[in-house]
Amino acid sequence: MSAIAPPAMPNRTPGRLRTAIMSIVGSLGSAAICVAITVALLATLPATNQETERPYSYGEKVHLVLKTTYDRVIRPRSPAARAGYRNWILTLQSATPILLTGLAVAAAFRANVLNIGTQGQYVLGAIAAAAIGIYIPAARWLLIPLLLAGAMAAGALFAGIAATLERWRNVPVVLSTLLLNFVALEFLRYMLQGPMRAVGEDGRPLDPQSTELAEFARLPQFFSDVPRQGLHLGFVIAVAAALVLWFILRKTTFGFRLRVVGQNPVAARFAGMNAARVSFATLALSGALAGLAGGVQIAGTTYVLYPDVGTDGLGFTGIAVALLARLSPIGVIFSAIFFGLLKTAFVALQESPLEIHSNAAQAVQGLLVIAVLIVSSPQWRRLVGHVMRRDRAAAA
Amino acid sequence: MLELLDIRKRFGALVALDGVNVRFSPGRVHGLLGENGAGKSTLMNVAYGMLKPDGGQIRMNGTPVVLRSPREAIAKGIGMVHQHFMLAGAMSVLDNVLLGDWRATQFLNRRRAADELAALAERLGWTLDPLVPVERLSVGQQQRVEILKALWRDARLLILDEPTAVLTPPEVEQLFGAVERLRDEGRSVVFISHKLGEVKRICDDLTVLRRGRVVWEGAAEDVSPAELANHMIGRDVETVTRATFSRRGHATPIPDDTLEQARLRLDNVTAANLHDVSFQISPGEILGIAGVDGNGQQELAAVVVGLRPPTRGRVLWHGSDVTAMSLEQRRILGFAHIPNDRKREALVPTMSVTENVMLKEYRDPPMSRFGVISWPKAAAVAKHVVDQFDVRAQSLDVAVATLSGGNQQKVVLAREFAIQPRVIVAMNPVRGLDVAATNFVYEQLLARRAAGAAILLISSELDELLALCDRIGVLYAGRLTMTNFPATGREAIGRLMAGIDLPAESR
Repeated sequence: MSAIAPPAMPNRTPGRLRTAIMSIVGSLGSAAICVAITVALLATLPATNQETERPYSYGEKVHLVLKTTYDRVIRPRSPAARAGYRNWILTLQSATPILLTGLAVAAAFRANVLNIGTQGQYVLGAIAAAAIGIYIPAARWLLIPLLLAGAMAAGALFAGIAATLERWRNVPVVLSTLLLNFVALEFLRYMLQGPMRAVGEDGRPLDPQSTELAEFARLPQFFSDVPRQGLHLGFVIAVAAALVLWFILRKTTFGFRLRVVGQNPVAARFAGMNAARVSFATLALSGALAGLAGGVQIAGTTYVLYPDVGTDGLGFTGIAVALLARLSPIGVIFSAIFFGLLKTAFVALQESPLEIHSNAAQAVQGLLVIAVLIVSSPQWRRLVGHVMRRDRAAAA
Repeated sequence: MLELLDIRKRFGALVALDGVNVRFSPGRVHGLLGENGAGKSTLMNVAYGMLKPDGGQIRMNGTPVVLRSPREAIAKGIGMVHQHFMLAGAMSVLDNVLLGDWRATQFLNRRRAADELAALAERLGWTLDPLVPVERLSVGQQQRVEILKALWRDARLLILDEPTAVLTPPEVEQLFGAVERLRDEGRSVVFISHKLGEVKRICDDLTVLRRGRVVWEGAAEDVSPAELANHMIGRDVETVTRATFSRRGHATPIPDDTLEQARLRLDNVTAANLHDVSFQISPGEILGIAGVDGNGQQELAAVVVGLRPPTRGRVLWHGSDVTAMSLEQRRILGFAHIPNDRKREALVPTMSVTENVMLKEYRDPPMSRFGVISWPKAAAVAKHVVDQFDVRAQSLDVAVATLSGGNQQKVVLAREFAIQPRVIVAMNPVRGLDVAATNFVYEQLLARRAAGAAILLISSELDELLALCDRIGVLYAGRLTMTNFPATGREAIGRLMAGIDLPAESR
C-alpha cells in the first residue's frame, strides 16, 4: 500500500544495543507469559489436600506450584542439603540436548529452511555415537571426539537426504524431514532388536537396548563423581556451539548468504547467490547440530541406546526452544535453560502435595509449545506492537 | 453525489489524511492527483469502506452514511477497480462478475445473465465473451471485467485506481471511450493517476493531494500540466520532458572500429518468452526497450545480466562471448542491474542499508577476508557509497523497508553504480517514485551514459523512453522490433507496443 508508506524516516532509530535490549525484554516478556500460562494450566489439574481431605482451591494450587518450583528448583540452598545444586545440575543437563536441537532449528529457520526433522537427525546422531562408543577400540582422547564427529556426520547425512530430495525432485523439506523422523525411529528399533542388541553372558539377547558405553567413552562430568549425577561436558559443548553459530550467522560470508536467502530468496538470486546451494548447506549444518545433540545425550546422560531415545521428543522441543529465542543462537542458550527448568520443575511437582502426574505435566508442556508459537508469531507481535503504539499515541 | 468531509486518518505517527474535503458530482470525471504517499489510495479506501476514518463525515446525496466494509459501499452504489485486479483466473468472465453478488441467486439462468453482461459490455463499446476464462484475457480485457463487475452491481460512482498503468496506448483510448460513456450516463468516475497528460485529457474536475491535504482543486481546463506538477510536489520542478534531458552530457564520439569492439551485442538470442532478439549498444548510448509488461522484458534483462542462460544465441561484450559467464563474473566485468521489482528482486527489505549495499560484493576485501565479514569496514564502504547518492536514512543500521521508495531506489543505485559500471540494465527504474526521486534516477542514468556506459533501459512508460533514449526498440510477444526513433513518433511506437503495424516476419 503505497499511500501509507511513510514519506520520511520514522522518528526513532534503535541502535544495536537498544535492539539487543528490546529483543531480550521481548523474550523475557514471552517467557513470562509462557510461565503464567503453564502455572495457570497446572493449577487446573485436580488435587486433594491429604491432611484435610478437601480439594485444593485454585488459588492454593497456584501458590503450591510456585512454592514447590521455587523451593525445589530455583532456591540454591534448600533445607534438603545439596538438593538445590543437584536440581540446577539436572536443569542444565536437561537443557543440553534441547539447546543443540534448538540451535539446529534456529540455523535452518533463519535460512527459511523448514527442518522439522531434528528428532530424526537426533536419533541418527545417537545411533552413530553409540555404535562408535561401543564398537570402536580407541583411546579416550580420540574416541570422544570421534564419537561426537560421527554423531554430527550421521545427523548431517540424514538431513542430506531431505536436502537432496529437494534439489533433485523439489520435494518440500517440511514433508521429507517430517516423514524421515519415522524412518529414523524405526531404524533405531531395528538396530536395538538386531545388530546392536545387548547380549548376556550366556549369549542370550537381553532387553532391546544396546550395551552400556564403557567409562572411557563417556563424556567427562563436573560437580559429581557419581555417574549421571554431574554436569557433563555436553553442556559446555552446546554453549560453545551456540557461540559458533552466532559467529557463523553474524560474521561470516556464509552466514550472510544464509540470512539473505532466508529473508528474500529472489533478491539472493538476483545478487548472484545460489539459493539452492545455501539451503543445502544449511540443512546439513542443521542436521549436524541435531546429530550432535543425540551424541551428547548418549555419551553424557544415558550411556546406553534404548528405544525411548526415539520418542523423547527432544528434537521436536528444539522447535519450541528456537522459536521462543526468536531464532537467535544466544537466545537459544537461555530458552533451552528455561525449558530445562520446566522439566526439573515438573519432576519436583510430581513429588509435591499436588502429585501432578508426569503425563499431565507433559501434556501441559505440549500446550506450552503452542503458547510459545502463538506468542512468537508475527501476528501476535504485530498485535502487541499495535496496542503499544495506540497507548503511546493516547498518552501523547 | 458523494461528499467526503474533513476526512482524517493516521497510521501510527504518520498522518495519511489531514482533513480532506472532496465532492464527486454525477456526470463528471474527477481526477485525483498526488505523489506516492500523498493519500490518494487511503482516501479512496475510506470511500470504499476498506478503511475506517479517524474523523470526518461521508455524505451521500446530503445524508451522512457510515461505510463499514466494501460490501456496504457496493450496496450504496460505490464501485472500485483496484490497481491489482481481484479476479479468479480459472473462472469465466460471467462467474467473476456474479461472484459474491446477491443477484446471482436470481440468475439461475446463466444464459440470460450472460446475455445481460454482453449487452452491458456493448453499451461501453466493448465486445467480450462472458464465458471465456479470465486468465485467457489480456490485462486490458481483465480490467474491463473489473469495471463490468462494478457496473453489474449498479455502481453510481466508479473509482479507478491508476487504471492506465498496465495498458497499451490503444487500450488507454478504449478505456477513455468507456469512461466518457459512463459519464454521459450520469455516473461519477474517480480517476486516480499521476500521469498529468492523461488526467488533464479525461477529467472534468481535479483535486491535488499533498501529504494528506488538498492543495489544489478546480476544473481541469483551467490548469496546465506544469502547474499541476508544481501543486503535486510543492515546488518548481520541471516535468519530465524531452527538453529537460535530451542530449545532455553526450559522450564524446568514439572512432567507429573501436566502437564496434566495445559494444554490447546480443546475437539471435532465444529464451523462454524471447524469440531471436538481436541488438547492439555502444558505450555512451541508451537503448530503450518499449513494450507492455509481460512481453519478454523480464527475460531479456535476465539474459543480459546473466541470471538466465539463453537457449540459443550469444551475448557479446567487448568482442568476447560472455554468454556462459555467471552473474558474478559479469559483475566483475562491470555489468550493473536495476531490477524491475525493487523490494522483491533488488533489496532485502528486512535487512539493513549496509547489508543491502554489500549484497553483491560482500565477499571482497575490505568487507570480508577469508570468509569473515568486518562490519566496521563494511559500514564504512556503505557510508561512502550511500553518501554519494544522498540516501536519507537516519542510520545505516535501519532496515531498508523503513526507507521511502525513492531512498530505497537510491540504495540500489548506490550499490549498482559503485562499481563504475560499463553495462547497465535498468527495468522500470522509476516505477512508484515521486517526481524528485524520478528526476534523480534520470540524472544518474544520464551521468553514467556520459561516463561511457552502455545502457539498456527497459520501460513500460513510453514518455520515459522518449525523453532519455538514443534509440528505441519495441518488444511484443518476445520479438524485438527496432524503430527509427526519433523519426518514428510516439503514436507509431504505441501501435507497435499493441502489436499493430509490426513488420510481417515478426508477427
